[in-house]
Amino acid sequence: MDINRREFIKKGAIGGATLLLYPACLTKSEEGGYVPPELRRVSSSTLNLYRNEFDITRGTSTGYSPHCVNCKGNCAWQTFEKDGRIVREEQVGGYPQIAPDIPDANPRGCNKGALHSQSLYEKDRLLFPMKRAGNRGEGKWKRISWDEALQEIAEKVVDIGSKGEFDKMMVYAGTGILSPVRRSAALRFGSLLGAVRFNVASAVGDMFPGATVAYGISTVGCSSEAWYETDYLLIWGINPTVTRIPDAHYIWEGKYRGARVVSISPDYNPTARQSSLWIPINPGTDSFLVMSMIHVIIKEGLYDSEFIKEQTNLPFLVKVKDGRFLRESDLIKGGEENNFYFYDEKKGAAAKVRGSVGSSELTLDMGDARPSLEGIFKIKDSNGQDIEVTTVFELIKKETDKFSPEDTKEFTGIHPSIVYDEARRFAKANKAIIMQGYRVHKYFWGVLTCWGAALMLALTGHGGRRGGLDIDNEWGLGELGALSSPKPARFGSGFLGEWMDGEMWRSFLSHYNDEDLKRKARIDKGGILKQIDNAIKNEGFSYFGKSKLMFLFHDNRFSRNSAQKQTEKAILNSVELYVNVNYRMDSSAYLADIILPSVTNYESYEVRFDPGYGRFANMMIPPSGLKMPGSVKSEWEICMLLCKKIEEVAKRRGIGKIEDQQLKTTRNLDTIYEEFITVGDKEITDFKGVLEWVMARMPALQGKTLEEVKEVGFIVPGRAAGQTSPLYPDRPFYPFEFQVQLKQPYFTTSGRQQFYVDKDFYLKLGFATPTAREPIRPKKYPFAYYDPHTRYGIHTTWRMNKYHLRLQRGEPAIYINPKTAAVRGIKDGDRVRVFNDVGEMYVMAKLHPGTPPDTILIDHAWENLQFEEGKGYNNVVPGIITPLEIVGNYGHMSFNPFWDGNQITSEASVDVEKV
Amino acid sequence: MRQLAMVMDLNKCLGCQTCTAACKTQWTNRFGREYMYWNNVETQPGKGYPKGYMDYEAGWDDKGNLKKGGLPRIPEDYGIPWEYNYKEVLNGDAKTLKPDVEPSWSANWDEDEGEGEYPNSYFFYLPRICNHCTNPACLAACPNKAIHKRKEDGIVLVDLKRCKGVRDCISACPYKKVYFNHSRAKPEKGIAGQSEKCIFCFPRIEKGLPPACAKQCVGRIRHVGYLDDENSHVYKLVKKWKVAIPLRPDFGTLPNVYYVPPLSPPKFNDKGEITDEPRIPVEFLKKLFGTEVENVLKVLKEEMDKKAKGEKSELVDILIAYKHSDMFRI
Repeated sequence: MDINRREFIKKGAIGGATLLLYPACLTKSEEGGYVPPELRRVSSSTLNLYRNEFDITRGTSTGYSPHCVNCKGNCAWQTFEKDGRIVREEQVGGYPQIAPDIPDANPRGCNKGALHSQSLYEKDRLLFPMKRAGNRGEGKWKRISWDEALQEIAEKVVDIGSKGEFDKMMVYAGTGILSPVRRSAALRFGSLLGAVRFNVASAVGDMFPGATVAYGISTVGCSSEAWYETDYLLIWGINPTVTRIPDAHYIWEGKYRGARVVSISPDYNPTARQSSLWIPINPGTDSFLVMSMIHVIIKEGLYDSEFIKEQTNLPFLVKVKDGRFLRESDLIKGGEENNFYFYDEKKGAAAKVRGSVGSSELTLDMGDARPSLEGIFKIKDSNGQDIEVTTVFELIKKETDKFSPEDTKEFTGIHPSIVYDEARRFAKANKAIIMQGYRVHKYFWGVLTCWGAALMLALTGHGGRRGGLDIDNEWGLGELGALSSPKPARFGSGFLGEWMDGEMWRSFLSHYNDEDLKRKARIDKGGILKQIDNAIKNEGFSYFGKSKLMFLFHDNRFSRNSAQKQTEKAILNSVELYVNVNYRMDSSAYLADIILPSVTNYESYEVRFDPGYGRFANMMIPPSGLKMPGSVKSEWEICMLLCKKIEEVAKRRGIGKIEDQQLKTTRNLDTIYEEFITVGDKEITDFKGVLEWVMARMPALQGKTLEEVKEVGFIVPGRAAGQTSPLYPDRPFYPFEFQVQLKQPYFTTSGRQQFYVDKDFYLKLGFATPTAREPIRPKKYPFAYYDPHTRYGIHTTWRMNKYHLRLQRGEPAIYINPKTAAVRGIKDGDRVRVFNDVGEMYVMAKLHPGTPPDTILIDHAWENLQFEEGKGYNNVVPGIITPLEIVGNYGHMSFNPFWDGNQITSEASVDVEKV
Repeated sequence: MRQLAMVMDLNKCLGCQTCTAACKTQWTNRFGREYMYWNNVETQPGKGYPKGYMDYEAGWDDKGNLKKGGLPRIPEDYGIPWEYNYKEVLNGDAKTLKPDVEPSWSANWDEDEGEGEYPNSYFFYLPRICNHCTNPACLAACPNKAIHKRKEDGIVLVDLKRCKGVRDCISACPYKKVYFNHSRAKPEKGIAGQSEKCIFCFPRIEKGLPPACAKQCVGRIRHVGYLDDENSHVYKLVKKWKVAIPLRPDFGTLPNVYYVPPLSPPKFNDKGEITDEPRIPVEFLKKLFGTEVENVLKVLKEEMDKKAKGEKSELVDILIAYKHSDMFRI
C-alpha cells in the first residue's frame, strides 16, 4: 500500500501539542475536520445485514421479567420472543426519577440478567420428568412421564402421611424462588401436608442476628437512593460494586457529590478500588474495629446524649451485683418482668420506662423526665433493702475502655490514626450509613460486629432521616399467609436443621481447638454442643428430625452446606424419596431420585417486590408468543397436580383425615386437591390466577391490575410498603422513622434499641454488652479461607453458564497472593490442592495482589459439578455454630424468622500445595 | 461531517461486564463472531484483550506512515470461547462440567489483578469498543477500500460486499478492534473470511436508541452524543471541560471514544498509615492517556471539592448524570 505523504499538518490535539499527519485518503473539508475524499456509501447489503439482525433481536412479541432467582436486585427487564423462544432481553430503564436532585435509578440490571436468555435453552435445562436409573449421584437418568412421576411421589406421600409422620416430610422452597407467586405454590403444598420447612435465610447463612438483638427485627435498611445523599458511607463486609450491581452507581455518584465512602475488607476488592479509603482488616477481627471506633466516640464525647437517652436502653438501670436489669419485679412484689427503670435526675429517683413490653404506654417519649446516662445509684427493693445500680451506658463505657485503637491494632492490623480519623468523621457527619452484608454473620463473631455497628450509629444519633444500619430492608407484602400457609406448618431452624441433618458436629469437632475456643469464647466444643442440644430441647428452636421424604424446590442444598461431602452423605442417609423441582441440572438435582422440570422467571407470571433496597415492584409477564420448552410446568401446576394424585391415591386406599396432634389440626389427604386450589372464595388453577390474587392483596401495589401494568412492566409502590417508615414517593427511605420521629417503640423487650442483654448465657460468657473477640480459626493450617461473592452468579445460579465462564478462568480458581504463591512454587494457572482435616478440593490458582498474604479466597458458589470428583469449595469448610445465636426464650431473642442460628462459613483454616 | 462520540467515566465503571453481555447478545453470540468481544472490559494494568494488543507497534508514525502492526492469534491472544459438556453431565456420561480445552487464556483472564504489592496494589477497569477514529488506520490500510467512515455520524464500517479478507485492517488497528470472521469464508473466491467489528449499533442509532453497551451500562458511565452538539454531555466533557481524553493518543488515529481517568484510594506506608499518594501511579496513567491526564485529575478533584462544599459544579453534575436519558443525545 502506497501512502501519499503530501499532507502534513501540525495540529494541537485536545489539550496538547501532538504532531499529526494525515494520509491522502483524508482531506480537509470546508466545514473543518477531515473527510475521506470519496464518501462511498457502505453497500446496502451490509447495512441491511445488521439491520435485519437487530430486528430479529427485537422479537415479535415482548414480555417482562426480573431475575428473581436468589437475587435481591429485582430489576425490570423486557424480554423479546421470536419463533416461540426468548432471543434477547434488555432493561426497561423506565423508572421515574423520585426527585430532581437525586439521580434516577435507570437502567438497573446486571451482566447475569443480560445473559439469562442464553441459559434458557442451554443443554443443562431440564425439559422432562426424570427418574434416577443408577445410584444417587451416578448421574444416570430415565425419562418418565408426568403421570408416572406424580404417581410414584403421591404413593410415597400417602405411605408416610397415613402413618402420621408429617414431620418426616420436608418441602423446602429455596432461594431460587423468592417471589410470592412461585414460592407460595411450594409453601402451600408443604403447609397442607404439615411438612417441615426450614428458615431459608438461616439455612443459607443470610441472617443478621446482631441487628435483631438491637432492634427486634433485622429487615432493616435504606433504599439505594439514600446511598447517594449520605455524607458518610461505611461499607463493611459487603462488596456492592460486585453484589449490588443495579444500584451501586448511587454510591459512586454520591462520592462525586461529596460523600466519604470508606470500605472495610481483608481483600482489595472492586468496591475498595472505587472508595475514598480502603481499610484492610485481618479476617474475622471486625468486632475489634467496631469497638475501637466506639471507644473514640465515647472518649471524645462525640455522642448524641439526647438521642441515646430516648431511643436506646443506655439509660436503663442494671444491678451492679449480678448484672441484671432492675425490673419492676425487683421493686414491687408481683411486678412485671418487662418493666425497666432509668434514673430521673429531675425527680432524683428511679422511674419506669415507657414503651417496653411490660409497659402500658406505647411510646418512647420521655416527657419531662431527664434520664441519667452516668452514675451509680442506690434503690430500695421490695424488701426495703438497698440495691446498687448503674446504667447500661456506664457498663458499655467500661467495656469499650479495653479497646482503644492502640490496643486493637495487634488484632485488626489497622493503624490507630485511621481509627481516630474515621471515627471522628463518622460521628460528625450529618447523615451516615453503615452498610453491612451477609458476609458479616458468616464469621463466628458476626453478632458482635453487627450489634456493635448498631451501637455506633445510635451513639452518634444516626437514626431516622440521619441514616442508620443498612443490611436487609424488606417491603411489606401484606397478608399473603392465606396463600402460603393455609394450615399450620412446621417451621424449622435453618442452620440447626442443616447442622443436625448433616451431622456437622463431626467436622466441627475435628477442625477446632478447645484451648483456643475456651480462651477466646469462654466455652469449649462440648459446651457448644450442649448449648445446641439445650436450644432444641428447652429454648424453643425447632428441629423435627431427619426426613424420609424430601422435596427441594429451586434449592441447592448439597452445594451450599459446609463439610460438603460429609453433609451430603448424612442428609441422604435417611431419605427414602428425594424429589427435586428445578429448571437446570444443578449439584442438588444431580443427587435426586425424581426430577420435575419447572419454568423459569421468563416463563412465569409473577410480581417481585420484597427485597427492599430497590423501591419498584417488577412484573413477570411472558411474551404472548412464547412456547414452553419440553414439558416444563409452573410450580403452581406441579403442586396442584401432585395434590390431585395424592387425593386419588388416598381415596383408593381409603385414607381419610389424619390427626396431626403436634400442630393440633388434621391432614386431609383425601381432599388435599380441593384444599390446594381453593384460596378463600376463589378456585385458582394456574399461576396467572395466583398473581391476580396476590396483586389484589398487596396494599403497596396500590390496587393495580395485571391489565394496567402490561404497558409498563413495573409498579411504583405506595407508602404502605415501608415497615418502619413510610416509603415516600419523593425521597429516599430510611428505617425507623416511626421510632425516631414518631417515638413508637422498637421491636425489642426494652422497646428501645437494645445494647444490654441480661440472659444468663450471655452474662456468663461476657456478652451482656457488645464487645470484641478474636477469630477462632485454628492455627494448625496456615491460611484463612473464605468465599467472597462473585459477580458472575447469584449463588450457584448462572455459575455454569458458558458466557460467564468465558470471562473468567473457565473453571473454579482460588485467589492467592503472588508473594505467597512464589514461596510455595505456585505459578498462575497451576493446579493446586486446597485441604484441611475436613476435606480437599482441586482448583486452578489465580495470582491476585489484592489478596492478603495469609489468606486463600475463592469466588463463591461454584457448583460441585465443576470440581474434580465433585469436591466443591465447601468441602474444606467445617460446620460451626456460634453460641451467641442459639439462645432463646428471651423476649425478642426467641426463635422466629429473625432470630435463628446462622450458617457460618468464614472461620476455616486451610493449606495449599501445588499438584 | 458529523461525529458520534462516546465518553466512558472510569470512576463509575463497576467491571460488571453488563455492557459485554449486552453486545454479546446483540451481535456476537452467533455467525462466527463467538470469539469476538466487540465490547470488552479489561483490567488495567493488564495484558488486555486480545493479549498484548498495545504492543504491536501499530498506528501512525511521526512521518504520517502506517506502522506495520501485526495479527493477534487465536487461541493464544484472543482465547477460545470454551464449549462445555452439558449434555454429557446431564446424561451421566461425565461427572464434571469441563471446558473442551484446558484453559490458558481468555478475554478477562487477569481480571481484578492489576499490579503492586498488598496492601498497595492497584487496578481499574477499561471498557473498550471500536473507537470510530477520525484518522482510522484500518481504513487507510485496506487495499480494497472496503472500510468506510459515514458522513452523517462518523461511524466506521467494514463493507462486506468489498472485503476480501486480506486482514491488513486488523494488523493496522493499534487497538485491535477489528476481528476476523472465519465463517464468512468464500473459498470459491479465495476469500478466507471477512473482517467485522463494532458498528456503534447503527441500526439502533437509526431508530433513536443508543448503542446496547451504552444504554444497558448499569454503572451509568457512558455518555453518547455528537461532538458538535454543544448541548450534549460528550461535547461538554471532551471540548468544554476537557476531562474526557482518548486512550493512547500517541497512536495517532484520533479516536472518538474518550475516557474520564480514574481516581484511586490512598496508599499505606510501612507502618500502615495513610499517605498522600494515590495508588495508581500517575506515570502509568500518562502512558495510557497522555500527559493531560495529570491536569484532568486535578480538575476532577477541584470540582468535587466545590460540590462537596455545596457550590455548583456543572462538571460533577454531568458525571453524576441525574437523568439516565440525558446521557444519550443522538
